[in-house]
Amino acid sequence: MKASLTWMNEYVPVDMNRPAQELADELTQAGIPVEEVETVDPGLKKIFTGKITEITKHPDADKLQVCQVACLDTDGTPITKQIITAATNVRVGQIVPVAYHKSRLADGTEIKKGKLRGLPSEGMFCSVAELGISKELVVPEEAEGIYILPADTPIGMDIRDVLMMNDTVYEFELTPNRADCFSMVGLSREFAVLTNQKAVLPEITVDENGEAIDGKVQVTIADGDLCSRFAARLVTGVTVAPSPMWLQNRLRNSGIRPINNVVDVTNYAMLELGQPMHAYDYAHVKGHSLTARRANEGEVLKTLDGTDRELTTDMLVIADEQRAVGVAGVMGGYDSEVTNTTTDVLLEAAVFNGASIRRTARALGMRSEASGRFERGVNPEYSIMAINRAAQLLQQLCPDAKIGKGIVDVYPNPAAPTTVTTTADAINAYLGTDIDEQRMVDILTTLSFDVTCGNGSMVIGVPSWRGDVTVMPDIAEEVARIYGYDNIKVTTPWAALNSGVLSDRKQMTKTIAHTLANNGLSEMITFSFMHKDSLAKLMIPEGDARYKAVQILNPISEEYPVMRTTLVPSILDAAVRNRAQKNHDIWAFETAAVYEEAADKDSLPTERYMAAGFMTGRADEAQWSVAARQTDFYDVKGVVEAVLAALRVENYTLTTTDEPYYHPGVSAAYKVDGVTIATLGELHPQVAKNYDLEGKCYLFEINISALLETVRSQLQYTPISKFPGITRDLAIVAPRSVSAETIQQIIVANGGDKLESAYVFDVYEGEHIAEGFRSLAYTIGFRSTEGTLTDADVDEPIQAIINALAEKDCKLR
Amino acid sequence: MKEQLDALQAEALAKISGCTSLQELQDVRVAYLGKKGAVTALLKGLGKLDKEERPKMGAMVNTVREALEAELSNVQAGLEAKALQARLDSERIDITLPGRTRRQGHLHPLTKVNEMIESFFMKMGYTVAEGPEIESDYYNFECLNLPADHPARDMQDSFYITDSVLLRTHTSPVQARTLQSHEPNSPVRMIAPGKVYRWDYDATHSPVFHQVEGLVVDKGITFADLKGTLELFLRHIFGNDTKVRFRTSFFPFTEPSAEVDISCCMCGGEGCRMCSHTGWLEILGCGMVHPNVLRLNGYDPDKVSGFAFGMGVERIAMLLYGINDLRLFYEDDMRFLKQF
Repeated sequence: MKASLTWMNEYVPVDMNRPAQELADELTQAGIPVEEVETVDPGLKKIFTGKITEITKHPDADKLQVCQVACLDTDGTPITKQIITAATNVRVGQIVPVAYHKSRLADGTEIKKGKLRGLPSEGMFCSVAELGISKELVVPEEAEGIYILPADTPIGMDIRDVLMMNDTVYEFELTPNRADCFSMVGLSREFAVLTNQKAVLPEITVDENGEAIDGKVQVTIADGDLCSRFAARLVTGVTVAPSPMWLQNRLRNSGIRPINNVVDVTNYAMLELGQPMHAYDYAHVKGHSLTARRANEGEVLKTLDGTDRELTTDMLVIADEQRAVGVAGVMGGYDSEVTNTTTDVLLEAAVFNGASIRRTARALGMRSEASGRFERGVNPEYSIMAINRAAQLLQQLCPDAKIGKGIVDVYPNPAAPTTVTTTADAINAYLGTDIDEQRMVDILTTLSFDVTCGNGSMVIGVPSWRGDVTVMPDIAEEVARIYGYDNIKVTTPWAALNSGVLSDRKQMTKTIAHTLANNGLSEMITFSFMHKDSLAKLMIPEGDARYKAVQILNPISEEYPVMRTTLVPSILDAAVRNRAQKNHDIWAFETAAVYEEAADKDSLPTERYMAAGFMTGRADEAQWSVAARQTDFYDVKGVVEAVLAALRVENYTLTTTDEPYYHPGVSAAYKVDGVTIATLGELHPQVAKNYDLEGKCYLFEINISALLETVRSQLQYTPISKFPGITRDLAIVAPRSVSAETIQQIIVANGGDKLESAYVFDVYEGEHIAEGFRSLAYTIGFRSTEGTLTDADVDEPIQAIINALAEKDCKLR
Repeated sequence: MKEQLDALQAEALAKISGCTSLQELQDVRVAYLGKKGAVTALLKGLGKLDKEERPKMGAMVNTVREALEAELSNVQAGLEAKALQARLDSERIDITLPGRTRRQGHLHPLTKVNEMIESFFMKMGYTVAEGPEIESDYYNFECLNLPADHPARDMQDSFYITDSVLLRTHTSPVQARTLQSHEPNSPVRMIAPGKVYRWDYDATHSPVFHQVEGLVVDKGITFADLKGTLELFLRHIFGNDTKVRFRTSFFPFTEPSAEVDISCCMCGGEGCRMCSHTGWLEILGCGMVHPNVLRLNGYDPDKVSGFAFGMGVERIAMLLYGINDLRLFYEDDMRFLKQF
């Protein structure tokens, strides 16, 4: 909604000397947000009206015309200026905007006198664009050539006065509850209350000088659920013509295109009172009857814009005896529109169901000033005022027009007035304030609420246009916003002490994220969407559960039609983006939900939480003091095990995995009780190729939801021995088929009760080691809680280990 | 004899002070004081002297020995100090070369901000609650006083899964879920962080973004309590000097409703490009829980009241860290992520 301050001044005095931004800020604070304060004048300088008195052809140029223009000099003396123009729409007798020597156009261009093909030109004529008027705000003919002004425009007038450009316009970004503020009158009440004034409604009087409307117009509401009031008036003997400049200017400054006097007065009444209206050519309304009814099956209507609209049976139309003549509240019909030949006009002011208008406007893709108002709610108590206002203005513009006696008004169930009963104490208790009852009454009264106080209670009659006010908190807001939110003193709630806690899942996710960050991985956040093609790129076979993705009916782009069932494509895409930026070292992860189709129609999809990581490039920060080492499988394994350790998950087993996007020989899965809790490995070279990821890349996935179901150990202290321990190193030559895990298990099983630790410190294969074998060097530690161990004390367990290893074909080196 | 001793002493002292290394010094020590050294030989020869001569001569030789030993240890200390100095000089390194670091990981800025918000409210006794991202129309709209065809639904363009299931457009459905999971009218203090979705994708809108919802319901909760709570919170995040402003607004689920602005953290309220020269930055929306919302979720607005608020995590992170492009949060460029 745009509101011109010059226009507003008619309802409530506006202090034009006050900075416009100040009042805008006050309105904004009070819940009537001003999005922008616009100055209409685009910075025009020295452009005045002139009358073309003579046109001759330029002797040396076919396309140029030499015009003599009657103007006023800046001191008021009449002068004739010679202007040479290439425009083809100029005629003798027209009033046109003339840019004088040293004038300035809307785009900042300076105009100076000069010579065109040898003849002097003292300036130029202006088009609407050069005056800074948007193309959308003029009829197509006006957009072409020079802007021809009405013939009664005086000469020598500053064009800014002609076009009402010395005006400031507030563009409001209104909230949906304040339907009443989509009108000048509604806004004027807010201006008034904030400046301690009273708004004055326009004086609306109609001289019903025509014949009675009875018998000339039939109005029927067939679908009462979608139309609560329908009023019609008949105006005959109308001459359709452009509106006078003052009316055009007000509409234009409000962002509405002037069309002709009939359409313009209906729009003016809408802007002023908030009631959308429509004007029909009475001659083209068959049977002179209007019915508000749902559209028939397959009904088609050609709307004002010339488009055939296919209607559905849930759309409300206004129909004459034979067919629809308008989509109710959205757009009128082409055949019954007011044209230059129209003489008799049927005015409509009706109130339609907001939800229905909203659905219809959406379905047809036609949202208009009218539909927007109906969606928010139009006050039926203003319909008659609006139809009278339009008639009054039309009469003013066409003195010969006759207004029929009476209004056909169908209003079967007049809206009951709303009353809220409360107390000042209740309002203060709700707000946490100590505002006087009298102050509350004053605020509410200025806003036209009807307040009766007595016996400690307040009975508040809500004005018809404030459909948004129904309960005490609404009244509290009215009081608070005018009292000033900022004047309310702050407190904090009294509440029983309570410890704030995180859910188990959030706590676990937090532990995982922090552990990963502590281990060198940075956190990413990607979109929750996916394309199923990426599953194919991961070589996941069709039929896999991950193809059963939740489909989005209206995806944001073709790239993202479904909700992701795995985080892997997202993190690979992020890796590709990083590679494109030449970020070669990537250690990154994300924790997020993946989504699985609901089991049945009535339930919501399942959301499973996962962590996934991507690791490639240097294993350590690039630096002079550490030899570069590329990330490998064991970096990833270390990271995943650090997470499991941080979560105190200990009872897992390590197996191979058949997840298709991993290198089959360089990947693994962790399972607890047969459930996979994590997988990791090298990205399958084919998948890497599908993503154009060069070099070795590693991935891991951790199933947070599954981990939440596993038993995790409680942290328990193990006593430490006071006595020194003893270590032995063993270099074991083992067949390649014997895993490190097997050797570790043998050491643990045979090391006896003094065994404290055993770890691999070297793995070697190659020269001096037989083909098919490798050497694993272990440091094995022993310690007793009862005394210092000697070499002799560990000979026996070491021998036991060696013997047990020998059974697996492992020898000491 | 005395002359001989004096000459010997003078000669030895000269050799000692002429030593330039510890090894040379050791050689001189051996030459005079060693088992076969010159002074040692004199001491051994004392036995052959007269009884009367012996003490006098012995004292003279001892004096020489002590003089030599004193000089030897003196010169040794000097040589050792010099050797240490030489070593220290030779070991000097370039302290300006970078220190050795381990690979450093970083939490996403949105996670950092989320954790700041969670930690503030948990200290105030708020529980951190969650709800599904794919939500029913019932929880996302209806329970929040947003019936079908309510024009306020236009404020939030939705992604639909079916007619009645959508990607939640705000974290507010967690309000409804939380109230419904509680004994009616029992106190609630919770925040709900999470992903939300709106059908909008350009330089300043992301289809996926993050919100934190807050809800307090109890006996006697007031609008002033809401103001006080949010002022404390915003000063905690943006600093104690931050000014907080409440503007009247509209949300279907609260009444009265407010938009909250903070004084611009870039210019301190003077006006700059960041705050469009207004000195203020919009930071969150809030209000008193609408009686219909309480009622729709099993609470009695005549017995309890409450407040609710909702904020965008991206917005806070952008203001806090001076991030000027929303898209950076989801592009996941390592050069961006490593700064947090």
